[in-house]
This record gives sequence, structure tokens and C-alpha cells, in this order.
Amino acid sequence: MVELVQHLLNGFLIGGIYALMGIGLTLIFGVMNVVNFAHGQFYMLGAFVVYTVFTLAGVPYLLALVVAAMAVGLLGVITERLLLRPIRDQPPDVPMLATIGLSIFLANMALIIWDPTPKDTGLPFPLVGVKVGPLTLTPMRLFVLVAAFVIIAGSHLFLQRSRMGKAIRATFQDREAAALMGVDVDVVNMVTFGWGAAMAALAGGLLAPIFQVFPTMGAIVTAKSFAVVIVGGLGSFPGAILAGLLLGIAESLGAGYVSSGYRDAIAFILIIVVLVVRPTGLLGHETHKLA
Amino acid sequence: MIQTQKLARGLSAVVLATLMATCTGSPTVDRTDASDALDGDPILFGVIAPLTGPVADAGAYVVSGLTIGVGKINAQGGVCGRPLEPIILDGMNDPQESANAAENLITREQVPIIMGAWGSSSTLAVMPVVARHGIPLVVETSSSDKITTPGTPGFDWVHRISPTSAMEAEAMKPYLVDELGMQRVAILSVNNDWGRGAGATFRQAIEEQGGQIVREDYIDQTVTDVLPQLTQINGSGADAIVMTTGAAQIATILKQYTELGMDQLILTTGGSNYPVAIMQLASPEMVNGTYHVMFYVPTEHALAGDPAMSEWYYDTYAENGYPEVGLGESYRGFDAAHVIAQAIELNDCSLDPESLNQALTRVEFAGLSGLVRFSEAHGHQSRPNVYLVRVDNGELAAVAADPPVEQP
Repeated sequence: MVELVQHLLNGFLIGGIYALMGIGLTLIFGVMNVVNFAHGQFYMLGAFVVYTVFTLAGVPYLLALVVAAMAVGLLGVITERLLLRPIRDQPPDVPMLATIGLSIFLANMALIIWDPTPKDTGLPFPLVGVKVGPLTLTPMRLFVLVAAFVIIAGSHLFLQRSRMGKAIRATFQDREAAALMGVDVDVVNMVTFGWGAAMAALAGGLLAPIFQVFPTMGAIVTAKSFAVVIVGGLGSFPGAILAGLLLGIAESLGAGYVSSGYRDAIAFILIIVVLVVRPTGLLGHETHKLA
Repeated sequence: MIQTQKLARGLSAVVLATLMATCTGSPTVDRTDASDALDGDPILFGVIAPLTGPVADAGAYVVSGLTIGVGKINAQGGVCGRPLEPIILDGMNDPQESANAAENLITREQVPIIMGAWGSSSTLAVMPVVARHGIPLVVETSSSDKITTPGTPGFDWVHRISPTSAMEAEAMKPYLVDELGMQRVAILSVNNDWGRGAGATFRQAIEEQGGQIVREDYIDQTVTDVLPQLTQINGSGADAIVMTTGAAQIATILKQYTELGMDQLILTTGGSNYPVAIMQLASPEMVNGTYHVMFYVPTEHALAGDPAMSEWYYDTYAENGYPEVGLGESYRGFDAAHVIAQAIELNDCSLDPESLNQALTRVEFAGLSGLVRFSEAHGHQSRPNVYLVRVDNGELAAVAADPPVEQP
């Protein structure tokens, strides 16, 4: 029983990060209709920026996270402007191929800049477990979980309350109608892609002290993010949160009780089950609606 | 506007083309410079190493040792008066990519001998390719027993420097249960031929000594979150964990082991587990008190096949600015370069692959990992030294060795 609760707790912790990744990806797809295969590489770059700023330059960790979000967010903005906007009117596979190329480019650039040696960022918070009854929780993991949900809540507020958030939602629902109402769709695209990239970077920066940082760390994260988006429902903000947590818990239980070898398969089993039972995803709609 | 779009489209195409070339079946060719002081055409040999992918760091370390080895050979007159030059292809530690790299090295670069391909699964994929073309393969890292088991496709063309998992387990057998007190053991290893092979041989060794395996977990080499597996191990009553994977993944596991407040004895195996690398990626405190099966202890020159060369290598590695974390993996490339050079000289400078394969059986090289000598009776397999190393306060101490080190 104690193990089961520990598995649920572990799954909840990693699920928060999956949710963060999924939200960024679902926004980009919903607003821009772009399947971003470079999402994991933005995650990787976020981790490397935190390593560079926090570990090498000695800047406080929280500030390093902000720098990572801004730097990678800016890279996202530049990517949208130079790579994606010129091919916006092409068939969907063209921008998809462009982001595949971008993902390889970014991974190899990281290989050149930071070399293939895995990096340890050091710990901003203690990693030694604190016993809460029979359970073990570390301050670092607790911080990651709280930070992930603060970022998610902030993003939700931004979408619901701010002028730009409303413009993004309008574009999400009907690009042409939004443009006719005076929404600058180009700016919305740029902000959305930059914002999605920044969220991925924050996820990478949050997990960097727990894991290691290396150029190829983004590949599996991209796959997990797609799983979250599909299971949650394309374009569903709460769906991404629910699917992220569900995936984290399912992986934790699956690796613990079924087999470690099937851990990564669990995400794809979830996709198949959800697509069969509910093709629009857990909280998806027949028509896109950014809820 | 149209011009801007064309420009961006062109830019995108260039970026894509560049990137595709770096990731697909056309691996990067890296020719290290042969010594300018030597006359004559360089003698080329092929190298397959993971230069990208999850274990790119290990591949880079092996290549750094290889580069030092080739530099030393060329500085001492080369091979038969000609400079030695490796052609290094990226196998990504992926069986398909490694097999493609072997095909390219043989058909396009026409190398007479190849070193590689780091991971056991990759080496096993390369073996049928070298056998088809009749090119000898020197294996510097892989440890799966299958590689040097007669009947495996390509077996006749393989000579292996690195020890098999069975050799490791056999060497450590007297210590596992009786000395280290490993009674109830969990195995947590990478899910490939290397990890599974080591898991099977250590299971056998521990059970033969009266110990018990309480749990076995095999994780993908890209896995970073191992809390589920460790939670289960913690609840299984295990008193020890045997891990076979790379240093980076071991460090990740140790971090999460610390998170859970676990206290099981840790034993890492496989030879890609250099404790200094693990300490740098985790912390010295987390690694304190752990045990590691190693084939080369960089600071213990007396244990090497040639202590003077070990000392020279240690200094040269540092002078070249290579990362300290790679020292424990890099020796593989150094020893392999010397084995290849000696085989060519023993073959009367002929690069005929078939006779070169025969010449490998006559090689005797006192290297960093002990005396390299391929025994036909043991499947073209060398028997390097195997050490049990304990980490205490950031220092490595060899607590056991096979063969036993003679005390001065």
C-alpha cells in the first residue's frame, strides 16, 4: 500500500512536467496548426540555459529559469518569423518537416556548443528525501511540482484575462474571423510559438537539477508531449493537464508493477485506448475550442 | 513579400538538408590528421563509435583515447613507416546505423580493419557485415557473451579486447556474497544485449554463491526517471543493487536512490562506469561507499599492463584538455589503436584482411587494461584485468583484482 501511494506521488510529480510540456504543444498546434517536432529540443535548450546561467555563471536558480524562458521564448519567436511564417500557407506536412529539421539542427547545435558530455547543474534545493509518514518527498521535487502548477495557472490566467490571451483564443477558434475582427494573427502566431517554447524551456530548466543535461535529452520528451496532447484532446488546456498527470501516474504504476521495459510503451497504449474509446481525446471537442 | 518567402524557403531547405545529413544514413566522416612527419600514404582503418545519441559522450571518450594512441604510434614512426589514420563514423550506438557505417567503411573507404562498435547490440549488428566482406573487427567495449560465442554470425572475424560479462561475473564471484554480503540482490540495468547479458551472468554468479535475486529491472538507455523501479526495489527487501549501464545513467539512478533515502549496497559493472564521471554527474557524497567493477583504474598505474605507459597516458590525456570524466572510458580506444598497429606490423605490413585477421591472434600488447592477447581457445577473446573498486571520500581504491596484482 505504501509503495502504491509512493508510485502515485512519483507519478503526480513527473505528470506535472508532462502537463507543462503538453500545454505548450497543444497551444502551438491549436493556434498555428503546426505539429512542432522541436518541442523537446526547446525543453533541452531550457535545461542547457539553466546549466549555463545557474551552474557556470552562478546566477540564482529562479533567475536562471526566467532567463531560460526568455531566451528560448525569443528563439521560438524568431523561429516562427523566419522558418514557419513563410511556409504557413503550405500543406501541413511542410511546417511539420520544417520542425523536424529544426529539432535535428538544435540538437546538433547543442552538441557543438556544449559537447556530448552530460552535465550536472548542481542542486538549488536539497535532494535528500524528507520522510512524510512512510512516504519520501524531496524539497527539489516539491519545488518542481509547485512551480509547474504556478506556471500552468499563470498561463491559464493569461489566456483568460489578458488582451493577447483573448486574441490567441479567438485565433484558435476561427483564424479568419479573428483577423476580420482586427486581431493581428501574425503577432498571435509569434507570441504563441514563443510562449510554447518558453513553457518547454521552463520544464527543462525545472528538471535539469534532478536529471542530467545533454543534447539528445529532448527526443523522448517530444514523443511524451504528443502523447499528452492526443490523450488530453487537441487544443484542450485542462485536457493537457489531466493527460499529463494521467500519463505520469500510468508510467509510474506500469514501471513499478508491470515491467520497466514497457514504461515508454504505456504512453502509446494510452493513445490507442483513448483514440478508440474517445477519438477527440479525454477533454477534446469536435471543433477546436481553447477552454 | 514573395522574395522574402523565397528567401525563407531557401533558408529552410538549406537548414533541413544540413540537418538531415547529420542524422540519417550518411554519418559524419571524421579523418584525424596523420602525422606530417611521416612519408607515404596513411594506413587507414575504420572506427565505429557513437558520436551522437544518448551515449555520445562515451563515444567521444573512446575517440579521445584512440586519438592519443594514434598520435603516439605516429610520433614513434608510425606503422611500417607510414602514418596510421582512423576514419571515424558515427554509429549512434544504434544497430542499423552501426551496420550502415560498417558497410560504408568497407565499400566506400575500403578500410582493411575496423574497430567498434561500442554497444553490444551495435557490434552484433556489425558482425555479419564484416563477415560478408571478410574484414576483421576489433571490439574495444562490448561485453555481451554472444559476440565471442562460436556460431554467432561474424564470429570468425571478431577479436575482442574488452571482457565479457561472464568474465566480470566470474572474477567478482568470490566477493559478491561472501565479502560484500550481497544476499538479496536487485538488478537494475540498461535494456539491451549489454545490460541483459550482464544481468544474466551476475544472477548466475550470485545464485551460485547462495545469494538470491529479488527483482530484475531493465530500463531504456534514454530513461531518466527511475523512481518507480527504485520504489519497487526498496520495497522488495533487497540489500544490494547491481547496475550495468553508462556512467550518466548510473549518476541519475544514484540521485534518485538518494532522494528515496535508500541504503542498499551499490555495485556497478560493465566498464563504462568510471566512478569519477559518476561523482561529477551526481556528487561525491552520493557515490561514497559504492563498488564498481572496472578494467582500468586511471590513478593506479601499477595495475596497468604497462605502468609507465599508463602514467604517460594519464598526463597526456590531461595535457590535451580532454574531460576527466572520460578517462575511465578513453583507454579502450588507446589500446585498440595499438592492437591494430601491432597486427599490421605482425602481418609484414600487408593490409590483406584475411591474413590481418590471422595476425590479430599473434598480438601481445601490454596496454592500459592489462595484457591484450586473443585466445583462440576462448573465442578470440582477450582477458583484461578486472578490478573491484570502492569509492571512499571521493577516492578510488581497488579492493580486489583479477588476476591478483603481485605486491612489490
